[in-house]
Amino acid sequence: MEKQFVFQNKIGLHARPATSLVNLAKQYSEQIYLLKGDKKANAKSLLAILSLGIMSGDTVILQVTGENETDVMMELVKFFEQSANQE
Amino acid sequence: MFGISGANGIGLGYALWLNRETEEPDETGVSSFNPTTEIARLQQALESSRQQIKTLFIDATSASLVEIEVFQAHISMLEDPEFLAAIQEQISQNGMGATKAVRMVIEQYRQLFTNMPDPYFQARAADIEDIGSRVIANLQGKKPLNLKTLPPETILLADEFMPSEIAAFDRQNIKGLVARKGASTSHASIMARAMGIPAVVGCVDLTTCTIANGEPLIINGTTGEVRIKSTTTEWAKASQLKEHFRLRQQQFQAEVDQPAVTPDGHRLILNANLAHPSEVNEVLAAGADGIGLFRTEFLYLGRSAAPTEAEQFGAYQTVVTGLAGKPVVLRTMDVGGDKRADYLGIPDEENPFLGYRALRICLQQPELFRIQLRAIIRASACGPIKIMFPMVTSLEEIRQAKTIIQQVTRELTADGIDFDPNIPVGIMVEIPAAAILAGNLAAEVDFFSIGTNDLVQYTLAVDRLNPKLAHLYQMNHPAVLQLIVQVIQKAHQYGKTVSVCGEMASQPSGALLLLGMGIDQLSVSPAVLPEIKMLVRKTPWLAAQQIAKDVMEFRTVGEIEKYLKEYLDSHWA
Repeated sequence: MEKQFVFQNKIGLHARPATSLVNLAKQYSEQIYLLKGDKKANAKSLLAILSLGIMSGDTVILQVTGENETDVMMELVKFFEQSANQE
Repeated sequence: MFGISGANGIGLGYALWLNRETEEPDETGVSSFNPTTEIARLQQALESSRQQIKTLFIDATSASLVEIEVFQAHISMLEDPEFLAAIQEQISQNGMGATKAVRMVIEQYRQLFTNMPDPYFQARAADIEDIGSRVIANLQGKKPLNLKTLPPETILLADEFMPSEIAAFDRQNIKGLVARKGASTSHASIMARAMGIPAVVGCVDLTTCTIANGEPLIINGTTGEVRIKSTTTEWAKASQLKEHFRLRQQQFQAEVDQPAVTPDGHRLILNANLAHPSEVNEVLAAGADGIGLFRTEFLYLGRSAAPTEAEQFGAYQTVVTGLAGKPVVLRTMDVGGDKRADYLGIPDEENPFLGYRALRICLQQPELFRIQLRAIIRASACGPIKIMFPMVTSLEEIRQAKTIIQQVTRELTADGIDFDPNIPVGIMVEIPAAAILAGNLAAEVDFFSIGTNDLVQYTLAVDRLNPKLAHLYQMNHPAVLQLIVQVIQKAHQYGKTVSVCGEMASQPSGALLLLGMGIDQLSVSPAVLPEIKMLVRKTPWLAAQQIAKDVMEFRTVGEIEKYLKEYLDSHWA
């Protein structure tokens, strides 16, 4: 399943929030990808996530495939909502 | 073997080379090559790297929050499945050795990040290189040196020391530094002096003389001598000298609580230079009247993105509060020259000291400047501060910088944030143009601080980092002294105070001369402050004035230095 949203926080998806995202994604066996423009990154790879260069205001697509994809998607959306409220 | 004096004092100890990555023999194409073994070696090296980062940087009690976050990202990179897969592919598909494969994949990622449009992501290339060199060091079986815990009685040897390395040294066990490159005015020497570590720099024979790790060494940071195969008598004699040096320091220490007043009642303000908030206690213990130069560069160096306002404010607040009412002169960022920060977009320059540096960067990147000024001005709510701009060449630059200060104070007022509305604003006089225009500039600033290190380098056209030119780098050159006298006169005509914050003030001969020239303030490293204070307390101002007058009559450096040496030998040493 997919969900499109606008990435929002003050600075962009920098190393700190990206590390948290990767650590979260690694807890699930589902395949999780983040897409920006024509680039697609494995959410379990910090280098891949950082190489998307996601800045505040960028439109990104979250893609989750696997057994519990609905629950995992919900957790990830929660993560992005929380990070929007942080610096 | 001789080098140049980097930081005074005698050091006795055992050699330890600061290892960095070297060109390794490549495993590729070796007959015993086996992809399975290479992948196992790789995994072991990744695991060792992970453990090292964890114990050195994350679990360390001294680790700051920022460090922990940076190194957690490094661990995440080491565990990155795509990174691992890319290296494994090079090994199994292309028959590459593990080292070569790591190097190649690191290079690909480095390029990928370097070519990204946003500077923050570009700067991640440095993190990639950092983990790359650690993994390679582990593959080559080299233990990356942990600078925070060194073996006892260590004399550290290197081609060159980076300021960030010196900041990380284990102060308990380090007894001396020897570097092949550098000069007494390079940043590393200045920091070694501030920390009281004897150092010999510009030691060109260091690499050809094959010193082994663990070999006993005697270094004399004052004369620049490095003694390798010393006899027991020599060792004993050096211990004695070291003891003598220590006793003298103790004598100086006895009067640190007294003011810097000459026997005939002339009061000199004696401040300390500070390069990191952790040095506040050293400054206070040295008996300084305040901080005459707070170098804010540490916030900008050795990292991949500019410091935030909150981070800067935290650092400034610590220092200003720590000084408990004594004034602090904050110098705005002086990066460039020998101090690099890739995210500022400093190009590779033919002449970095004549290049994109300090105030020049700030005026071209006003947002960067504005953030620093906001943090500085907010710190004025915690105690008396002054703002100082480095690398000023013209009145226009001063006016531009002051306009940005005005914008920032308007913003702060609008935001309802407390600050001192009357912060004095001054400039470094370190470029001959500023010294020549001192009269015009004095009319528009509150104070001058003469930066002799750069003033000497720019006046004499001598690169202060070039060991081959060390003999031409003369702070007692008549041209330099004439400029200093003029700057003091012009400032006083306009009723402004003048300080000297360069190395000249930290040397007895220079301090004596400046005292006689009528300088109002000196700012020196905390390590030498007690000595300079004692010198001021023992030298009548009238005598110092006569010395300055005599010196200005001489026409050569030789005569000047001979005269000063004779005076000091008979009245001081």
